[in-house]
Amino acid sequence: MSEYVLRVKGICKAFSGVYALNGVNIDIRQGEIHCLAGENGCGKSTLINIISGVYSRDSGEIELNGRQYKRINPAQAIEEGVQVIYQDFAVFPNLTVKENLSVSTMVSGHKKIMNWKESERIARQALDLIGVDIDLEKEVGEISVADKQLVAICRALINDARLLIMDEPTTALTKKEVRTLFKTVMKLKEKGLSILFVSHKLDEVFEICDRYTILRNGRNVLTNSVEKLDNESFAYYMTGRRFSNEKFAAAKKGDTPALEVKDLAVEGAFSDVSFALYPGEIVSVVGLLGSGRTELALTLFGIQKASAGKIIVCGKQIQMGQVADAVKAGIGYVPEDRLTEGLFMKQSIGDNLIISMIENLADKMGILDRKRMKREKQSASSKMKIKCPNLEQAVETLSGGNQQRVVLGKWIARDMDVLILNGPTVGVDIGSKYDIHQVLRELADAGMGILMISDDLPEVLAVSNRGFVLKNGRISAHFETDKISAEALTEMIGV
Amino acid sequence: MQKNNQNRNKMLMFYQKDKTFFQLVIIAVIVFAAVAFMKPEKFLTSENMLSMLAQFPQFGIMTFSVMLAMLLGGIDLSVVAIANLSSITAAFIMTGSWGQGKSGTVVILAGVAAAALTGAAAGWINGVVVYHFRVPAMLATIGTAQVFQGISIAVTQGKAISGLPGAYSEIGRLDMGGVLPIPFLVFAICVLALSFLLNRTTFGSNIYMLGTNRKAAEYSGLKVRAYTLKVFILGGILAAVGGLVMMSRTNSAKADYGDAYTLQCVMIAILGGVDAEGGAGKVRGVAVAVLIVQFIASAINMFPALNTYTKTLIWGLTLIVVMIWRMFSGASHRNR
Ligand SMILES: Nc1ncnc2c1ncn2[C@@H]1O[C@H](COP(=O)(O)OP(=O)(O)O)[C@@H](O)[C@H]1O
Ligand SMILES: [Mg+2]
Repeated sequence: MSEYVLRVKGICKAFSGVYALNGVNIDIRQGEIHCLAGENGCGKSTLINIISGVYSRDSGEIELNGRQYKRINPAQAIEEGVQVIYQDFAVFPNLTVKENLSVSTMVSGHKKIMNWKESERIARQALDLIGVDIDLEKEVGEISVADKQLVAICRALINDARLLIMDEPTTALTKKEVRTLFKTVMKLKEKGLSILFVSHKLDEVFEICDRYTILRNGRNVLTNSVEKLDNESFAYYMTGRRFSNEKFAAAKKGDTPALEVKDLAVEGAFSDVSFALYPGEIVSVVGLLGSGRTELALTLFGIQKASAGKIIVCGKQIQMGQVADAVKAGIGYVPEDRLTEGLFMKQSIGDNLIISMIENLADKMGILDRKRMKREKQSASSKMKIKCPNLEQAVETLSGGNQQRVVLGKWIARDMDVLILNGPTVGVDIGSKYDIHQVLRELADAGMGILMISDDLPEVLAVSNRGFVLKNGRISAHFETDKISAEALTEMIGV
Repeated sequence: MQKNNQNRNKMLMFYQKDKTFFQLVIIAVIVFAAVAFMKPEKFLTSENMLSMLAQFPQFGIMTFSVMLAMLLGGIDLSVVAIANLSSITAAFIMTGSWGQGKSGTVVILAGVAAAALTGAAAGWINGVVVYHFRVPAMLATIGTAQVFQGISIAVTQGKAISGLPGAYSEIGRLDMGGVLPIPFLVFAICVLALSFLLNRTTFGSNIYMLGTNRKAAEYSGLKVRAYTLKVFILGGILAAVGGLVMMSRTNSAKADYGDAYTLQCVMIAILGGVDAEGGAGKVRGVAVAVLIVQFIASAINMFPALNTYTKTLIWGLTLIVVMIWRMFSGASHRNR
């Protein structure tokens, strides 16, 4: 038996002439947890799809359990024990947990009739393998992402996985769920499974991996064991860039607040919220989930109706409760969930960038000026440094970091006075995160007022100049970022 | 050589940009050639060509109405009911006693305007039910279709209204210089106007975005309510135009003309590349799909031996083939 479950040599893969992978090597030992890291768009998912036989490679070799493959198809990969839990993993949402877990065994056993007792037994056994308890009768569409993932892992185990590949499994999980997942992964390792774990979060890599491989722009940068790795070099290897850690020094511009909020309240969410945001400032809003922070943002942007209070933009009180009014007054909003609230996935990058300003690109009759549209698309995308071969491509083809740039770019294309951000860098890779922060600073410098809701305390401290804490729907404290530590801030937010 | 290559690349890019359209054109050519090959003596005659040009505009225009609703991710199953209600309104105006002694043009224009208003009002009702009451478009328009048809039957007692001004029915038969029937001209104007509206105006951009992701549209500051209503109102007007064309061809108006068009319109829209999930679909694709369906319909009619059931069967099979084709090309689009 070979020492390696998987050896991949010199894999190249191009999509319409552009190399996504260019001579990539990786090998995974029996029973190790191997991390595949790299910025979004560096080719991690593509590599996985090649290993699992979903994409065919252009050149290179794949060796599974000591057997060489020139061309591998999905069935062969499964035969070799390769099981993938995809980023957008495929479980059948309309089937129950039980059915999901028993369906493949039943089908491969060529059973025509579903035996409910039998399938219950198979499903129960599968969950016991990793020692978790999930309601078997629930439809998978209804259970949490974390539980879905566990179901997918169980399904992989039933199918005799020897190499389990998990593509960015932690992006959609809460901290607690990540803990459960890690426990499960460690258990799998004890059982002798090899695991290829895709992540670009250093703490995760440290915690569970034995070795790591870093890709950048479709090429290997480094493979090593995790002991010799620190935050800064990790970021450097992934991005090829050195980041400075200087703090943001906001310069308040002007005495009229860009946004002034007086005694704002939404029944059942928050009350008595008053604050001012001056042009040139970046103000953070921190607080636990359910503290009223998202409701506050939605109210400012006119999606929710306030039960009391006033919103004043650049000295003018605005009509509340209509998004169109808020936008007209100069407020832009970058929502929490960019996939469902921020982007038009199947429309082009360019169209996404200009949709909020489309009225300004047309004459009085609403006839569009195509030349100006093209110019605005280009200028927005270059301002946001969006990496893509062509702006007519659908937004769904972009990586998370680039997608977030599009959401931001939508408001930057249109000159806004106030920008409200809800979790601006959630699920975004290091390089993009740094760039987005840079953009925010530039916008503030140019005189925009920015209100940023964030869970990421280092981000709060690095990007904003001051902020306030929401607790049970009220402002419980104000802070200035150069006079407070992350620990003190955590204390303020409470549990 | 170099130049040749460049040209090829350009053409390839052009093709890539609107694959569906080129595929449709190829299908249209193949279907045309096949029918012409089978029945050249009947199909390749100028009478047949002219009669085809006069036949498809009515359901073609109605298809655009369905297409608009589908762009928003919904559907409109009340087009035919709106078309009939509108043409009945027009017929009442045109045959009413108020018009006696007035010039034919005035009477006809009044009728046309009344039909357009009726269509707009019916479309507005659809929009309100869909937007304000959050009823899924399919259910909403099945319901309103019953209501519209009910009104039509009530006011006509189920009978056809005839006796339209002679000048009006002439329109249905008149050829421009013996080449282009007027219904076809109306269709062509609809195609051009709608293409312009959808591709070159803020209205179009907003509709495609809204149909792709309603929530994101709201979060981007788009006027979701206004656009939803506008789309349905425009759809209603198009249905009315379809109804007017149909009325000019039958020289009468009746509550149940063109019943079969409802599903046919949906099929054509899907064949033409309109995404049932909303947000995608081009006017030119749908226009070619209308031609394809007309070719097939004419072909079927050239075999008088076929009974109605066989014809229905052929339509059903066509529908299934269309769906399968769209599924596959839709999937390849996603995997791009
Ligand atoms: N099916 C595809 N067609 C065209 N380009 C693709 C496809 N899949 C991925 N790419 C491109 O290949 C590159 C690598 O993508 P991916 O493997 O998804 O990155 P990662 O998973 O590391 O974020 C990106 O530039 C992406 O746009
Ligand atoms: Mg990926």
